[in-house]
Amino acid sequence: MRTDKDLFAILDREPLKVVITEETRNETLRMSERCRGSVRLATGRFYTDKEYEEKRRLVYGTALR
Amino acid sequence: MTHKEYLHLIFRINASTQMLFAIVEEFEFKMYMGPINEQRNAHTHLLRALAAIEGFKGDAEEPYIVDNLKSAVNHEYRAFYDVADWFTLKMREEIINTLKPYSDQAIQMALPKYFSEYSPKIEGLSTEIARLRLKKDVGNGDLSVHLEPYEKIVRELWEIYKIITSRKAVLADVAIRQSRGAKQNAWRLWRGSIVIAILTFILTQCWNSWGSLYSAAETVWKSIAK
Repeated sequence: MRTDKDLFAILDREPLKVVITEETRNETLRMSERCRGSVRLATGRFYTDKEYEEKRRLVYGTALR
Repeated sequence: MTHKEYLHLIFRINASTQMLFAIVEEFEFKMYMGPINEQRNAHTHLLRALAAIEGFKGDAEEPYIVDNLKSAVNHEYRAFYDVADWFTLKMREEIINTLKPYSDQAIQMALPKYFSEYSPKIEGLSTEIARLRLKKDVGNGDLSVHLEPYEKIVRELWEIYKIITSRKAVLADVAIRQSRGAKQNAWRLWRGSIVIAILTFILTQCWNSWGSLYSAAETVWKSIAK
């Protein structure tokens, strides 16, 4: 059985940097039947990092009337 | 700062983030994971600090606790900035899409303050968000609450958006009237063109008749002169 020391060693590790790509979406869609959680995520309705940046560029690049 | 003050700050920022999140989720059917990732990191740091405060981690010292609390605050701030950015982006997109089908004249008639007040303000607010974000760099060690200017901007943008959407019916009405007016103008133009064409035809015919009369008279005159 793991001791508290082992658990703190896990907790003290730096969290992984999450990069969201198209591959993440495909994998989420593939695995969603096995998990419970947000419907948006399970149906792939989330921005990849690239999509979000493109949206930013598009919206701020569009002049207001 | 005491531990309690750090925790209060985290609570304060988190509450603002959640509020904005709830609003922006109503408009956006797609999720943006940036803030959630930041909150996850804040959660990890907070757990480390709490474990140390409660004595679960035997060898933890005060600097360890403070460092983790500071990091948790920084991640919470980043989450808030990300949501605020997402919110302003979405509001701007919604405003652009709402006004897209209408002409400048229709907008001017339905929203008299749009070009003079709202549009420059929206541009200004976007710039202001960027400026504040640069000013309040999470790495500069300043952990005091700086949410008010953001919240003010968000509120102003939200108010402008509400005004614009509340005038949608008027915009549509003005657009319909303009369209009717344009149709009437087109019909007037057609009518005018048809009248001119008929008059031209009649005049040409008259001119041709006049020409033949003139040549007949000329023939008669020549025969008399002979």
